[in-house]
Amino acid sequence: MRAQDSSTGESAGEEQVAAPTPVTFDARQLRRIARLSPLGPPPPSPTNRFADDPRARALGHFLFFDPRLSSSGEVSCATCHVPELGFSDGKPLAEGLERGTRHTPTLWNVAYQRWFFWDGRADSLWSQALGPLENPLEMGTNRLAIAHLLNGDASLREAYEALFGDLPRLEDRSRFPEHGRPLPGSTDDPQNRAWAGMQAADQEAVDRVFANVGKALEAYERELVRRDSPFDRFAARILAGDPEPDDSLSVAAQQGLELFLGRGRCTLCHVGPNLTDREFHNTSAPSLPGGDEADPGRYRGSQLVVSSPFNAASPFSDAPDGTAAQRVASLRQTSESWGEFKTPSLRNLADHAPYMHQGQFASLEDVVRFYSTLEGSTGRSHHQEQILVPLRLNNVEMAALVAFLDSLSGTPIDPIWLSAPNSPIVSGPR
Amino acid sequence: MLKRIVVTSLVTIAATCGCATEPQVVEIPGASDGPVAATDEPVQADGRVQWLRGRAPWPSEEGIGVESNGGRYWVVYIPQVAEIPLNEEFDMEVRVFDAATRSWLVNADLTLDARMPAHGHGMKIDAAPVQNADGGYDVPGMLLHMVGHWELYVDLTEGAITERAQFDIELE
Amino acid sequence: MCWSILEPFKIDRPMTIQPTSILCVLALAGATPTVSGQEEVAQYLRTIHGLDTPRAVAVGPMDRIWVTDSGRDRVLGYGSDGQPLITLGSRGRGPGQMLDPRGICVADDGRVYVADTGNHRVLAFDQAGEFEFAIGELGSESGAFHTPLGLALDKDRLFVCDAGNERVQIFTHAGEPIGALEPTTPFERPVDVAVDGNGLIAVADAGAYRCIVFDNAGREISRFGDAGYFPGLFSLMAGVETFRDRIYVSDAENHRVQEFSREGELLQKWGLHAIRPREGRGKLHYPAQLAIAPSGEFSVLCEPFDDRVQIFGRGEEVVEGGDVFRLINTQPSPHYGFRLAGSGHWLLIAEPETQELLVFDTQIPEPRLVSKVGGFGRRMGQFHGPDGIHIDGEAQTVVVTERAGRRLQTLVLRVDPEAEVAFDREMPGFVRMLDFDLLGRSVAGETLEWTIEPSAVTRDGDGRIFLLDARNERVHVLSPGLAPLFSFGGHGDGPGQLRGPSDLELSPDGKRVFVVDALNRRVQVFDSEGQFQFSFDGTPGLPFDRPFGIAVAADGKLFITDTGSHVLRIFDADGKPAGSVGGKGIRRSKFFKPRGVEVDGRGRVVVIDHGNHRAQMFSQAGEYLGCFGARLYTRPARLPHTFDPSDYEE
Repeated sequence: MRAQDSSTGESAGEEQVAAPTPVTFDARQLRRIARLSPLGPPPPSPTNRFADDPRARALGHFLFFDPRLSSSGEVSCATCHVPELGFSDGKPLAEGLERGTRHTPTLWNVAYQRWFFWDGRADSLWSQALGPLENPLEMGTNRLAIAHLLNGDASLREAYEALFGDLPRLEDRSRFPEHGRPLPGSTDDPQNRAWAGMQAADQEAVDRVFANVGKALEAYERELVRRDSPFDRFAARILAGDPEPDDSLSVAAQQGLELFLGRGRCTLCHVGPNLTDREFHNTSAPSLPGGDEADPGRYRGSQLVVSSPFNAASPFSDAPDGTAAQRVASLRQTSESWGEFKTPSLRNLADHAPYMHQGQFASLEDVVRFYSTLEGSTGRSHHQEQILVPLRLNNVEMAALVAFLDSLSGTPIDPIWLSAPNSPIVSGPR
Repeated sequence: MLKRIVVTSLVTIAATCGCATEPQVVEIPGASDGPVAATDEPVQADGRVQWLRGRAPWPSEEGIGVESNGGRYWVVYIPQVAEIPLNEEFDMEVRVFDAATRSWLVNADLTLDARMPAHGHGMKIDAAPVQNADGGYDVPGMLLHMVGHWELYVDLTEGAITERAQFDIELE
Repeated sequence: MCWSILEPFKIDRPMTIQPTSILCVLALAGATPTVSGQEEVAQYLRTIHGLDTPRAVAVGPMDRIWVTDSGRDRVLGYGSDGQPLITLGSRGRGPGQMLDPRGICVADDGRVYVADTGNHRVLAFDQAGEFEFAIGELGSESGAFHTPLGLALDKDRLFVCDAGNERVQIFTHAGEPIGALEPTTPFERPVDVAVDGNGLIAVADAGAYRCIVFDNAGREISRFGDAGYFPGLFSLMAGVETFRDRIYVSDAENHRVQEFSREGELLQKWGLHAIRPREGRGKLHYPAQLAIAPSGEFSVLCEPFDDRVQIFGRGEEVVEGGDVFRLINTQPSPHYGFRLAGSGHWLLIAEPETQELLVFDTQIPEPRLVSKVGGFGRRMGQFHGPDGIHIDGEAQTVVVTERAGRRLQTLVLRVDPEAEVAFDREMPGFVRMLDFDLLGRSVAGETLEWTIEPSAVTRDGDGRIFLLDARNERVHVLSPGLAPLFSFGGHGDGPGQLRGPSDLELSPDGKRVFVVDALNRRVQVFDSEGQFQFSFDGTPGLPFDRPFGIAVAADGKLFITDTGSHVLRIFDADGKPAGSVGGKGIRRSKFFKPRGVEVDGRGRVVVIDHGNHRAQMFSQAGEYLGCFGARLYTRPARLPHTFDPSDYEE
């Protein structure tokens, strides 16, 4: 590295550094930068044919903020995915109805992901949305209750039926109980019993309503895209060979970028325009309460996604023969993936501390320090990939990396997406 | 045109003592003359063919060929993309030949995998080769998700014995 | 710390376990308040010493503790206070005699059943210790056994893990065959079985890294587990126990016991890996079987590796541990397997816990690790139970056998001779693999009773492969192309027959094949076509106790390790004793259960000093040259003058 190479940089009476010199990137580094920027628009979502439909988006936008989608009537998606907090909640562990076991992931740029949840147990954004709805720790509702809510609210019903066609005859409570959902592990649970008492065709109809709710939510979440960060502007200029000195990125951030591409080994996993490979790795980050890691992560997630009734190969997918369906069909399930979690995107980090799958790290400095020292590492199995080594960065280098990460925040989105709309209908009167 | 296709019968081999039998050469009406080889000249025979993304030498008309590690087979893989992408699915075709006669090997018991030895891990998905109508094997949905040195393995089983052909793939 | 089997001590333990409470469990082997604030339960109480490789334990009526003293071919009974009471059996094949017993269980009426593994049968002794009857003999038909291991009883049935036949057989208490358990997919290697009062039957299927649970009628109700080191995973399943609807699995290579619900939900895991040699005192080192007293007052864990049984229960002593977990993970010590191979400037040693082959370069005197080959898996290029190794140093070709996976693989070490020696994981290039399950039982014109289970392996100058088949107790000879040519040996104790053969080697001219016929306590010598020539038993002088490994020097001298007497024996080419090195201990030139031996390309005799987690090197005259391996075990050998060996010796 350049001027800041001395390990302490501190000597009585000496200046820390002279005017920092910008970094010069060689051809190889430029090639790597070209792979990180720019971030294009979100890829299509073929398993959801409503993914880019404005009416679905309006309905999803409304539902996202609607606390009636919880058993208590007080928890909406936005309770944990708070727009002002980067669509996370500022807490290490999520707290919906109860405290959960993992940190709320941000929704910035979620449309670019390949797998959803920290363990990837959903393979589409719409099927992911279904999980928290029925999770007793999160929103605690059930698909029958959701269907009845849509049916009983005139504007929701109008918005739903304009898109997805008529709702089933939900008024018939003998066919469609008030509450119910399948719970294979708890046959005696009243909700499971109610569900099991339904006819197969009616169950399928309710499942379809449930899936459609997810598809509407996805359409809204696809709006939550922030790109064009200072880093992107910098990259565009240096890739174009612009000889003018560039101030879109501070020198510290440029030095951080150099580390990011090189000694930091970050691009092994944080690669691609969204700065994530969208796959799973075991960082051996210390677990929140201390002691062993107890969360099997991808090991369990891969088992769940393959068997999910709403995955890309399911009847509710609009592309059951597409790439995503093939990917889930050929997914490798081995115990090597135990303790692996999804590589998060490094864009738009500034507003959603803490970080990692249990929010173990309060700040980006803490994250970088962990990778630098691997202190507190929980250890990995011999059978797992061996990528991590302590980076042994000094304070200046760590600060530079953080400066680079800070430069990855994209332009703000239209504020209408950050709060509840008046109506689920695109041009609704209310 | 007549195409001679080498047919190996797994049932026959399994029923014997496990010694590798010679593949039978079968005439199939309507195919091209003579044994069909992927290339007339071998590309590289040392098992360490370099193929760099973005700078493909394309040493032959199609695909990259290598002799299997025990010398029994000649294996060619043909990515169906101009360059192997990082972390995106791509399809490829694999063709297998008997190294001595350069005849196609069809109905082979073929397993395909890729690993990064330096990292100690493989792919996130399981490749599933499927025989296609031309005698090769289609492998859809290959996914190399990390930068670095990969080894692609094509393992061919006849009876109780499997032999490996391997290729190096460097993803930058 | 929550040792939940001791019901009286559990306080307000929630029935549904939150993930956070599982985190409390890798804790000290002693009293520790848990994260959830629960009170302590189990404490280390005491150790039973003076054993030799105790592989199985049971707790019977009156809370008597029964231990198979496998290395001395007998069973010992103790009172619940650890007082020795009775000895059953002695070495042999006759009535009431046994060879390497590896399973035990006790009925309510005091009858003791022993898995007489070396004789492939189950023995019954009455409550007075008199031999009553034997069940079964070597065979594959119903009622016969191959390598019977764990045993369990319910009120009218005896369950026997018939590991070599991949099944769990069921008998009446009188020894009449009833049938076998029928899992939905076959067992791979069932090593232990447990039955609880409510009829839950649990089987530890070590070969498949899973526990399979049956109800009282023998219907499979769940299966759980997978290979690995993380919670809920298994590395080397060694024992299973049930108690009050909970299932306990002891895992030797993960050095712990895990507790599961009947559906396989992990409830607790427990155990702290011992670090110092022979540490014990509550810390675990390759725990084998676990037995819980019917009263629930205490539990017993045997550790055959360290020749002891530890007892845990309620007591005063608190054992401190410290954050050893990190110590294990930052610098895992190599724990060598049984075998090694050396030729040219290469030395290869198996590492069972990672299922890799360690490749050392010996161009400098201290072997230097340059690659790791394999790793656990069932694909080609991965290993499942790597056992036999052979290397041709010139050609840099390696043959590896996998005992659990029942395969043989060949590979080359692709190294540029001009390049600098460096660690390189891309060195191995796998060439061929022979799958013995696909080969079947019709081999080279004969029909074998069992599929070949490959063990030790070597090659002659023409590239023919000589392979020890542990299950059929034969030597198979394969062509360089892996085609079977012929075989010899077979079960028995007559000339040319084998019982539990452990290793083989060829004379330098390839004309003689030496086979260590371990359970017959001799070495048998054949010619290269398999004709028996002669045998020797270690005399004059010390007869063999448990011979294991054999190596041959260029002048025909033989080096043979004896795991039972902890020595390296030297013989001339005709089997006449010519010296020995060793004795039990941890100093240099001392061994603790030595296993494989090899003469490397530098002419050094390298011995896997297995119980000391190290390898020692000697000249062919027996002079100590050096050692390498786990740091805490090599230190006593490196510092003979400043180190006080009495810290370690028994």
